[in-house]
Amino acid sequence: MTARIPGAGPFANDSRARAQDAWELLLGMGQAFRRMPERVAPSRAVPLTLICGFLGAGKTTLVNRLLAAPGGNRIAVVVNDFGAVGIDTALVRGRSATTIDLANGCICCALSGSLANTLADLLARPDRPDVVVIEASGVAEPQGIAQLALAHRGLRLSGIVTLADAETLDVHLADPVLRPTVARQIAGADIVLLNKADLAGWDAVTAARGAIAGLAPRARVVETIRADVPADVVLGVGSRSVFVAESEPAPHRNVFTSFAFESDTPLDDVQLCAVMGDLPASVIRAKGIVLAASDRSRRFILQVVGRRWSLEPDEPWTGPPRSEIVAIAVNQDAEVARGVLARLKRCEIGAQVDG
Amino acid sequence: MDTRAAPASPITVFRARRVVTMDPARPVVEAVAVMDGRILSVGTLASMKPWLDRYPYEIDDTFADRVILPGFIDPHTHFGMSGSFLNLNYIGPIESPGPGGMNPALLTREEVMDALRRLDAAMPDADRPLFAWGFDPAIQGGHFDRDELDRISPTRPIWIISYAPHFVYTNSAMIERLGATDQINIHGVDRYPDGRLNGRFIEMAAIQYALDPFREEVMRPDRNVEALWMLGGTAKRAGVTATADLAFGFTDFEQEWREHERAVRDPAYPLRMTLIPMESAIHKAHGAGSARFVKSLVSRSDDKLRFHGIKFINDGSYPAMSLMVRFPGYLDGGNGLRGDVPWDELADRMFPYWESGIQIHAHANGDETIDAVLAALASLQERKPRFDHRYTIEHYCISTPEQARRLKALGGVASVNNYFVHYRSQIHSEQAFGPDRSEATARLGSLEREGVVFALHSDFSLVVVPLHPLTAVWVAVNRIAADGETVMAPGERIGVERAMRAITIDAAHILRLDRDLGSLEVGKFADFAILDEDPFEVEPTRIRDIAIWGTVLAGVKQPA
Repeated sequence: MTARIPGAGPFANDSRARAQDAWELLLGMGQAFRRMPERVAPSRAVPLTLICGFLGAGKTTLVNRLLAAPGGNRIAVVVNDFGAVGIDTALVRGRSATTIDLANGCICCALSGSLANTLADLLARPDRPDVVVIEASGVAEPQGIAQLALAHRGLRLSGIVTLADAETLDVHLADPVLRPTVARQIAGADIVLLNKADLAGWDAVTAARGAIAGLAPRARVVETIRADVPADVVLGVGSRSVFVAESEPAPHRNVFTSFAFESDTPLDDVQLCAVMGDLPASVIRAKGIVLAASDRSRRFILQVVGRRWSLEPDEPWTGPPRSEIVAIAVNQDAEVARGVLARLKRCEIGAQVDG
Repeated sequence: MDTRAAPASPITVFRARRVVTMDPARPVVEAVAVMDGRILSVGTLASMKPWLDRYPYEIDDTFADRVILPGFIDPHTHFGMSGSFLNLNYIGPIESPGPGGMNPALLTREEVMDALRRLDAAMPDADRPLFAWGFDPAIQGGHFDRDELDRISPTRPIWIISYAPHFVYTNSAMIERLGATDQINIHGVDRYPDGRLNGRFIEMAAIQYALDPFREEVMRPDRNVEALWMLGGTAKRAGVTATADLAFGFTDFEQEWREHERAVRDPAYPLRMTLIPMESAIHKAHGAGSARFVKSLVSRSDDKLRFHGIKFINDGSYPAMSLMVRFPGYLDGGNGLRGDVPWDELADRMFPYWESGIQIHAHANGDETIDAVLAALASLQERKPRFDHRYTIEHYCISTPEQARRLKALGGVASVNNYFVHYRSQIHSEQAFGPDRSEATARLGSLEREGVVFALHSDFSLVVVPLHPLTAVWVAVNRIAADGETVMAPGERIGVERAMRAITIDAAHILRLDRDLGSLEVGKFADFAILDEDPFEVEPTRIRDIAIWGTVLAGVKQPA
């Protein structure tokens, strides 16, 4: 059963419904503005991940995985209603009408009133979450939800992750009623988890990849089985500098790796952004603190997911100024990683003289 | 016999072509006499002789060719929550409610540019930014860019947000206000081929960056008070003299109170306002002391601005397709959203208010939700039986005749948003819950048959329908769908008289104001709606087209 997060009507072809959506977005943004008027430095903002996907693609499986193994983070997941999520009761420490508290510090929160108020309430808790996830069931316009969330200054968008069902994607895209919804969910994605890769077969997976490439050329695509993927891929958090994780044995075995770049030399802003905007497809995410040539008095926060990147000024340096960038890649060979690191090295001030 | 003191000012006798009193005793008369803001007598100059012989009076023939009715009452609006957005200048491709009534649809780029030019010309302060929304690049000629918007104004900052996806378009003056330079490093801050910023903010991070001027505008301290004045004008143009805000205190109770005091208690403000606090906000702030706090609010009330009741929200909304329905749910197999309070805890949460005699307004759009609020009412009656409690089901969009019967048996009443029958029901038939429920949206006929008191409201402006009670009457009587011809569930139509009661005396009843408002009878406030024609006399299909001169509030004329 799909339920609806308000403010994201599923029938975007109807002008009146779109007007209602746009209107509710404005009202929601107004609520968010009122609840959170102060500016927040990017490093203090709580990352937000939107999980979208059509019915049956595996969103619930993914959410349960994240809640069961959050990798040391306090995750708050916002859902339409608890019935759809089915959290393992062994993990539950306490319940109220709208919140389920897990023993590991995570929270599952049912939408209470408006999304803007639910998010504001979450961030006002004394035990503020490290990460917020919105499980956007049946939503045709993920960007509308993201935008409403971003009106809250305490949040920053970490990524829009869409789950696609490799078995049924072609059928859904061929259906004139379903296509607009499914296409929009994929087009809005930074990362597409092509799920049920084991059940779909090689041909279906290849065809699905082709369709996704057409709809979202710069989204990163990861084939998954039972939505098994490291939390960092979905949430974009964690500062482990090197890790290796593998998915379940399957025709498509994923090897996730991370690599890091460090430098004491200031990096040229424009060059850095050019590199970040043009990373190889195997690099899913990158994140870091940057010593930027444009302003060496403060840290800059770099965030990259799929095709999106931003380099934002943060607070003044407290320790020795240096850049530390970590990237997560899937099925990447070492040569490609070395290439990225070399390109980053050439961003150092003074590097152009040699290069 | 003692003689009384003379009234503060002369009696005014308003004469009109017709005076429709909504009092069944004397439904149509020729004149209404007003003393000290209240109705002294209705009838003719001759019938009023016992008064007019004793006290000085003047005759006011301003309405000699018009029709006087009791001031219309919309018992469920949201001026506070939506007002500050309504004057954001809608420039979209469909008709939409705005401060002046319905904004026309703008179908071409030309029309949009004309509208923007007019808006720019109409703003007295040359530095104030112009904000607009609802733009649809797919229908209205593609994306804006900075150079094009500079042609509207090279000096006034302009900020436009589109329909989904919600891009932001700005001109040079707004780019400058943002502090954005060509060197900015945020993905999605768009550029011309030569590298110059083109005024478009098209990706998440860019849009988040571009929200600041909008945020500042929305948070401007006087904005809410300005909005209340603007909406007072909107109400006046619709013949409305009293309304109730059904979500008071949703952000900051005392701040909202100060804003309302400033606006509504000004003698020139043309509307009586009832404030109904939102229970979820009160509960968050006051916990176990909530009912006591709400009861104490009566000390702040007067005839123009008052507190009354408490509001519970129990499901989503009709247009957002988030209301809760019974078997078989929506066409896609899904269902809507509940409110904050779990339904099985609703009666417990309501009881402190019920016990204190505070009237409960329970929002319920779908029939499954109506079951829940009826169950809560039954439970309250079991614990402590009450008469004349006026437990009101708000919206009542999707219901059954059996529910109307139970509502009657439990002593409850209904406040119905019936505008949707015209504006939304056909779309919902095809895309939300199918024909059976959609066609029978707003079952006023069933409520009438069961003898339930009901009012009509617009929810202005949380949903995209106008604040215009004559339109609600037109919908109630005709039930014509958006296509202009289909009659939706004809058996649920009601007569003109019952529909007119629902925007006057019965609406006053819902708000517990019928002692003083809702009909033209001696002793009630002299609040009138002044129309060019009588809704009882015109072709029923023309009721919503009747021109409205304005209103009279406590005997003072308020031309539209």
